[in-house]
Amino acid sequence: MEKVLGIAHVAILESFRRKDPYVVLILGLVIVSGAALFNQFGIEGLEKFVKDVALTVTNILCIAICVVAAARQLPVEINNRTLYPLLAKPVSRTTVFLGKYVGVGLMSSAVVLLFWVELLAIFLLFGISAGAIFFQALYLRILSMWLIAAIVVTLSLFLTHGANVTVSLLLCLAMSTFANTVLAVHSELEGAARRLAEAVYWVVPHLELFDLSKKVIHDWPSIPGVALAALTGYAVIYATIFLALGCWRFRRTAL
Amino acid sequence: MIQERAPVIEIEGLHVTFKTPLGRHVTAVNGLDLSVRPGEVVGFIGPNGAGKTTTIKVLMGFIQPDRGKARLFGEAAGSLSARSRIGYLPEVALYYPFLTAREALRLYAKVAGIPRGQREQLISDLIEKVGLLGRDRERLSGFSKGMLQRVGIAQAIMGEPDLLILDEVTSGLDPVARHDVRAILRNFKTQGKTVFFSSHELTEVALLCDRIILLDDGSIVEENDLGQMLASAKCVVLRVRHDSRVGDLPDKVIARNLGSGVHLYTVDDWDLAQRVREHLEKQGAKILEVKEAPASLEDYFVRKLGHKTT
Repeated sequence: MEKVLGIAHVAILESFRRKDPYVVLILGLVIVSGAALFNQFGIEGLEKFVKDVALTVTNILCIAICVVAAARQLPVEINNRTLYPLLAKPVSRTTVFLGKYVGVGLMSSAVVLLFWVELLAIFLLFGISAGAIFFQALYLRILSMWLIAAIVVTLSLFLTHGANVTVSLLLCLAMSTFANTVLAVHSELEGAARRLAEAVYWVVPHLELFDLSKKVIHDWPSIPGVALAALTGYAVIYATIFLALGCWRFRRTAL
Repeated sequence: MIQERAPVIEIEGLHVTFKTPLGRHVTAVNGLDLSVRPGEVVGFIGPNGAGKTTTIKVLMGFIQPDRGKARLFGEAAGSLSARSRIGYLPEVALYYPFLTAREALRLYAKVAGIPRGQREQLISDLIEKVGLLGRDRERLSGFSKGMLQRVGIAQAIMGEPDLLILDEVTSGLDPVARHDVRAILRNFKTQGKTVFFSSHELTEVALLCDRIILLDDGSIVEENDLGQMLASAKCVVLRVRHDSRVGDLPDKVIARNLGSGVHLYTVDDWDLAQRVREHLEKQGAKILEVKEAPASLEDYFVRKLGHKTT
């Protein structure tokens, strides 16, 4: 475990020393603060608008930073040959792969946490309420980062860096919206198209399940703990499947 | 159980092919057999594309051969137990540019499984040994190629491995650093450790190695003790004085400018020496001396593989 954490530590250091998270945090702060200023006009309902803008911006930026960081890890190491001295030590490729994954997961979680702190501060500053659901949304957002990191780190072993970033961002968008689209068009589909849509619906991880933004915006009460536990299990299962595939691929990759 | 004098490196019938982007198969290593005994310092030399780095990659487990076996300390090449006894310096490696030298070595110490309590002292010792004292808290992004190579050497010798596998060990190093590296390797040798290294710096190879393995087109061209190899390879040297160009000489002539208008021409045999002498005299050069001499490793290399582009 110490080896995994050692490699993860390097991945975290890289992201923060490249200053990617800071740039995104400052950008997020500017956008969210700009939106929050509207709340000062005293118009009823604007609070929801501010929350909507803030959570949407935060979600997009968090996904972007997670995808970019995860896509970079192994291809850059292979390209720069930094993997050689590392893999010359008695460390398995599985450990290196998991170290990279844990590094991206922890870095993305830290970014989400910083964003949420930033949001909470802005909400409190401008008198916008944030209940327990806000913190549940934080937990699920962090969980989704670990799932996305597993998918992107694995895809980085199958696709080029540029293709992986593009495909992963599109996948995140599709996985967030696909379920609603399938539900909407399901009754209209027939035959093979219907079966294909159903198959994809059950196979593709549903990122929309981890997005409680609407509930936060409309001040819903907190969701039951069992639902959170089920979603945690769901994320763990999917992440494990992707990581197993990634490890399998990485062990067979010629360096 | 591994016997005391069992080979440290054993390669049998190794074949490695690569597929080019155009789908063509290229043979990098072609039926290679070699063995390295404990305590030997073996130079692995050959022109570019001879298969040296590919062979080393197989030994490290970075690539799998199509056929053949590679074993280190009796274990499969690339296995964790084999790697726990190896120090490796890659041909070209960028060490994490966002880390300091000390942080990079700390990472390698962690993955090498060096106990937490011993790490910092070990890293400090290594930093001193490779001459990075005072620079160890600077980011590697600001390091020169030679400085990065020192970091590479430090990580390679970390934990005093039984076998050092070095790919172009002195590449990019200044003369002082080369001297330091030689001292480190000699120290390894005196401790009875095994060193297997590839290099284009033949002077370096001649200074350090007990045995030379000459590789070309993925196969061994020659394998011998350095002394025996060079004893069998006499050459003829012509010491000549001339101030202007002397026209085209045969490809097999190795020319060196000794300064003050004196040049040294090295050729394989007396027949060629005679032809070169006549050519030089026609050009107005003054022949100062013609004599038989032992070949240097570089002369030997050029004679054996001079037809190759290196």
